[in-house]
Amino acid sequence: MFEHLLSFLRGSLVILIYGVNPERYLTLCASAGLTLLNLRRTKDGYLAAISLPDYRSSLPLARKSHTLLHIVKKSGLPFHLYRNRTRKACFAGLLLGLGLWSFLTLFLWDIQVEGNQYYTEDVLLNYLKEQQVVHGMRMSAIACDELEQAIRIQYPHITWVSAQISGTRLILHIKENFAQMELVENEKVPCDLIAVADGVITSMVARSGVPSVKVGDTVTAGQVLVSGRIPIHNDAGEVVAWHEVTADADIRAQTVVPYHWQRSILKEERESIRGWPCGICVRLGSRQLTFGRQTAEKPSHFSISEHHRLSLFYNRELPLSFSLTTDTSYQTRVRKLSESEMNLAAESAFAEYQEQLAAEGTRILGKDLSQNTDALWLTVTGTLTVEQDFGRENPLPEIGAEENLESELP
Amino acid sequence: MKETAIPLKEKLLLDAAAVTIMGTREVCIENYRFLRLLTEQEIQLQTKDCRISITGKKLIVAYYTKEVMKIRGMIECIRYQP
Repeated sequence: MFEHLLSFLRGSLVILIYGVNPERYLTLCASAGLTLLNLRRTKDGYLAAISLPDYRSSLPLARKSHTLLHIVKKSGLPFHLYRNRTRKACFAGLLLGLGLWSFLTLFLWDIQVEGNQYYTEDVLLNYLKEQQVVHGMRMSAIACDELEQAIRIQYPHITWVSAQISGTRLILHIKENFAQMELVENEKVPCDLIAVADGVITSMVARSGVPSVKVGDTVTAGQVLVSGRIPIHNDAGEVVAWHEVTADADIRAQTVVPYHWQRSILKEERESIRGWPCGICVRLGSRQLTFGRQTAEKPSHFSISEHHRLSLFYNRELPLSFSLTTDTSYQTRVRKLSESEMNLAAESAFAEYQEQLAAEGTRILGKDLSQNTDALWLTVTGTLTVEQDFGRENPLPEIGAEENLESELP
Repeated sequence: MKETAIPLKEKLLLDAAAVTIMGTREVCIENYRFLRLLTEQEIQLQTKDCRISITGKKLIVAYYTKEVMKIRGMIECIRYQP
């Protein structure tokens, strides 16, 4: 491939070698390091291919060996340019095109934002617009360092920004961190941990407070699991004061939770029929020119717009883009789900619920479900035996006046 | 005295012709002196020691330099003539 390109750029000739001693010419060419290709004998002499520079170098050798050279065929760029030397408009157009392309590559034509999850691209582009970073501005006017700093200051949850210029494209790589938002400083209020439902404790690790139950105990909803009130005893073993803390413990318990899932046994299906293009929109920079309709007018129609941006190479975006809108009609059909589809829907819904529970740290130990179908609905009801995190914070109850008096004692 | 094999590079330095045959379609000859005869049926090359004659059909010289010549065509016979 490269050799073919080089041969085209240098220009090549097919020559007929004849005369008194053409073999001597061949030997002299070999000695001079000139390459002859596809050398073969014909009735008139030898036929060979040679590059244009080699041909020029071999002319003295031909004279020396009393050999005559006849050009049979010329090919390559130098001959093409020479043949078309009178077509000045063609060359002018080529040069103008190259000049225009070079000129357009001095401007910014595309902005890409990568790594953003919370802050949308529109939000960031609007901010860039406020900072005078817009499509069509000169690339040399973009100060990446200042832009990165400005974005970090404006959006405190963007922890890292990298502005990179690639061709005519500005790429913003962003990393967001919302962990610090979630760390809300909770005021430490003294409280108990109470059971959220009936169940059996399966594991318990208390970090602060006085445990009121142990592993294997059956508890009821609202029962205190870990008390936030720690008694302080004197040497005689009497309670002299209460120290109030925020009860904290990792408690897991086996409980029974209800399960209810319902959906319609009817399914609506849309059969779309792709229509003809009904509108074209051409955008040049921030201006746009529309022809035809861009949205569907009838109720059972919708439109699909395909957006295309023109680019010369991978990263040489042009400010010109167009979109083609196609009007598509659809028909709605309602049908009843088959038995297998109902089972599949129920199973996938349960699997989704199971994943949701697993994400919350809940493990399903057993299930007792029944599936019922009536004229309109598919219903799955029953109970699940699960092991889950247990315990909820509850403010400490008021203690008696006597205990208050005791707690005020030194 | 024990004889040792002469490496290929040294053989070439001694001006011996190296003939490499690839199937029946290609022959590469290194260290030749000059081309004596070129027709579609026969190509003769002069080397230091002998003359190499390659006969066949539709023979052409794909390329040649001062030291290497590659011949393409339907090769039938390669003969060394003293």
